[in-house]
Amino acid sequence: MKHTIEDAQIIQDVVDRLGVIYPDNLVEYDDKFISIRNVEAVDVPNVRQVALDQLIRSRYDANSANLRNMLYTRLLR
Amino acid sequence: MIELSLPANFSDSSHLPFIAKLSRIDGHQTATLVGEIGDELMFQFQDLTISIVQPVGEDIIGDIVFVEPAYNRVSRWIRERSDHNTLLVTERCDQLCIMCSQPPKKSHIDMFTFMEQACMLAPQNMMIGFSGGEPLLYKEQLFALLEKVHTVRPDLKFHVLTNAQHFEEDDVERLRQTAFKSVLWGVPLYASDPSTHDSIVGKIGAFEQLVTSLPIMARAGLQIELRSVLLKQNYHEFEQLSRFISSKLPFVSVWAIMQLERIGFAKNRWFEQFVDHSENSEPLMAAVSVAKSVGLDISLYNIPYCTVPQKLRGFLSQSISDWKRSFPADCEKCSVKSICTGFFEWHSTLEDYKYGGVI
Amino acid sequence: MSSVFPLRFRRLSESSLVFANEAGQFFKSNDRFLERLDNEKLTKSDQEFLFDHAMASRRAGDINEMSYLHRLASRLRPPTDLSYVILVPTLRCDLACSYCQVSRAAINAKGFDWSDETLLNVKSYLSKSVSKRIQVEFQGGEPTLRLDLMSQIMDFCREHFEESRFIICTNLSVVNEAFVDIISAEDVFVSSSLDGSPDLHRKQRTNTKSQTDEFFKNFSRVGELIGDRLSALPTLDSKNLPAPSDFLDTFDHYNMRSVFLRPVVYHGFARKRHPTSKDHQSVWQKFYEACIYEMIARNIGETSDFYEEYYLTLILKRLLRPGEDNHIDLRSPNWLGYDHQLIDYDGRIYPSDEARMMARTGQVDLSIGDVFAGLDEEKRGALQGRAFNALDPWCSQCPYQAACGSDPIDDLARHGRADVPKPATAYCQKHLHIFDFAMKLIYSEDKKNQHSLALWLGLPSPIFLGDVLQ
Repeated sequence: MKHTIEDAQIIQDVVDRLGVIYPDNLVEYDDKFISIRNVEAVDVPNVRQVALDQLIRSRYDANSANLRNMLYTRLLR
Repeated sequence: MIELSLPANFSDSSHLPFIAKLSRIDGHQTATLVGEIGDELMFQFQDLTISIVQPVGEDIIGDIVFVEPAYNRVSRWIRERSDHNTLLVTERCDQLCIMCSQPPKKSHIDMFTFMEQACMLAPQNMMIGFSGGEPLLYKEQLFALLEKVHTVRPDLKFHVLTNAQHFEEDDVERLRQTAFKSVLWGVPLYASDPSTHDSIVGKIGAFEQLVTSLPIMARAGLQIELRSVLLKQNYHEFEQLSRFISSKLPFVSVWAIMQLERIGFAKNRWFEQFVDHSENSEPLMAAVSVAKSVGLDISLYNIPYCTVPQKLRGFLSQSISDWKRSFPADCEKCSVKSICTGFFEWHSTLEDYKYGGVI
Repeated sequence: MSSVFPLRFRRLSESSLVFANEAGQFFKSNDRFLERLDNEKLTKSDQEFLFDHAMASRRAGDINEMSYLHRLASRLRPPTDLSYVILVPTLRCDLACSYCQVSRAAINAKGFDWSDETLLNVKSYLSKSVSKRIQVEFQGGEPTLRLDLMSQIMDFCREHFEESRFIICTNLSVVNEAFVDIISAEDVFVSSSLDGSPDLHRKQRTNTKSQTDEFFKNFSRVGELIGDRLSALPTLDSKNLPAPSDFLDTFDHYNMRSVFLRPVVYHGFARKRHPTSKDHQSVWQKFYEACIYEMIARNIGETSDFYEEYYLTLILKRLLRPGEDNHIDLRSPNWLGYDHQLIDYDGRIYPSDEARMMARTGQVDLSIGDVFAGLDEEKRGALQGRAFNALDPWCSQCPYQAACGSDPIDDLARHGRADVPKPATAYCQKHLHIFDFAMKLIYSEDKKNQHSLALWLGLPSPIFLGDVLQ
């Protein structure tokens, strides 16, 4: 999957969350890649999927934050 | 069947029409019982003497009546012992439903003053209906009446049957006031396909207008009762209608599904309109299941108990207005007669239903 | 162009995902849709699907936006008056169950019952706090040791409130005539524990054969006397689970087909002695699913007298019906200490049973006042901070957030703190499993499953409960 990463905040969020999901693995970001260390070979596809999903989640969350706030504003009116 | 309009004699037939409460004791705006001769009851209202023949098996004392000396007539607008009192706001309508039970007329007589007086006299906690024609063609007068009555009689509840074509953005603030919390708005919706709905109500664009009005009503916090009649024209689409309501109209308080009444336009078009749900209950079952799955309140009206499968019986309401309700002779033997809605007086027979009969 | 109400997603399997918005509307789709959503390249048919299902609006104030806002509002119920009260007239008990190290005192212990003064204050507290309807759950200890106190409370409630209902939670080790007299009233319900077979029940609770026999004799007798006003909760230990079929047979034998399956939760010291590991969790989950499938198999042909698991039915209703929020463990905002309170043997008030256990084990004092001085608004307010899952950074990315709940007291009890990231909490793990399982059933094409779903939800006929975007 091709993903353009433009927002440092989003990346930080992804790294933080992966750190919680995988407390026993070291999660890092080095300007280009998010890496998760010490993953057993059999788990790699699964972990990769979780990481990609989290990236989409965090990015979509950031992109839809305004709409979410706007809907709450309208709810309170 | 209960007589709503009673012949009467008056000491002065030139007396103007008025509203009065038939009563044994003298009080505010009462026509007071002063004598009984056989089955004839004599009432005194100010200087006017009224004599009414008491209908068989019925007590009219306590009723709120519209008295028209010129026509030798007393109309029982609000019967004290009934849950089905409806006031006719107008006979005009901007829709022309193919099965209309009360076909519209062009003329209109403004009765708001009388209706207001009748409401003020109503028994405690009563629910009073407003119907038509289309009551909201006289929106300003109706809103004003509801507001005024509410300030004096906050105990009363109202039901307004409207096609909801006349709610506007500008009404929201006004409708949010407490007076309108006592009102349940009955709104017909016959299909989720715009062309099906429009062709049933005889007005192009009616569906589109509904879809605009309903959110306005919701924003005003109105209580909405959706009403759908089973017809040959929409029965096959009933599950879709239910899916539409379930996903788009979660704010309605209740969905009333009703079987056709053989009167008005439906009388002469019965065989092109009546659909026998007992023969194919699938669309009805699916519609009820979809709506129930999302927690919507559903009531089935005008549907005799024996004509639906067991699983639908819990949704039946005993609903036919007391003055229109009757049972064919066979039903005397039936064990569930007391919980059955019965039949319309003008068509009390099981012949329309393929499946059904004494339980 | 329409705007899609923000969606959250979760993988149900390798190739299918569930999407849902904050109002709780959900559908199933796939990675291709996820990609289009992420790239903001929805097709015309995506947009039509979302609009037709009221998950996108075309303009502010249109019907879909109104329905979305209405659903959202229905899931944000404001707090209501006190209506459910757990009363602990005594902490003493005549049994010593292996799980229950904290909520009992010895049978002859002194100072563990309501005093006359406490009783008086409980009554005046209730008359001030409850408006019209009340449900009283008598807990213990063993509340039937103080039938006199229960009777006085019942008389008081019947006189003061429009509607009262009483639930006596008892081990049924003693059923005397005074007890029979109390439970003959139609507004009194009895809830007992039944762990499964007599053998298992003895191991976990009654210890001796004679006590076990006495319990089963009493249980049958009460069942004959009050019919379905008797219910039973099983306590199940992941380390010692019965076979689903035997388990359901035992309950069926007593005409109990609605069962609430919960694994035992250890508190205080016992938690250290019985740590619940990941393995236990998966053993429990397998047992849970096997029970449900066994129920489904037994439901074939049934229409009214069907098997159900209480919590799964609740979860299904929460998924499908905004405003279904009567269960204190599964709602958000979870107004702790508002509509639901516990009054302990010493007159202290807690927001829940679990909260009092934590006070007893010395973990943390979560009392929110007492019947003498009244409620401590500040302490009650302090509990609300984490009681709203929409504000949680993890929950707000979860498709089940609208249907799920928030239980900071459970988090505190199990993890010692309330700010553990949600995916690490037992609450989240347990609920993710049941929600995923519910989705599996909803999207199952097996007619047996659909038949049971219709029964559990009270539908006249099975219908598709979940939409699919291809």
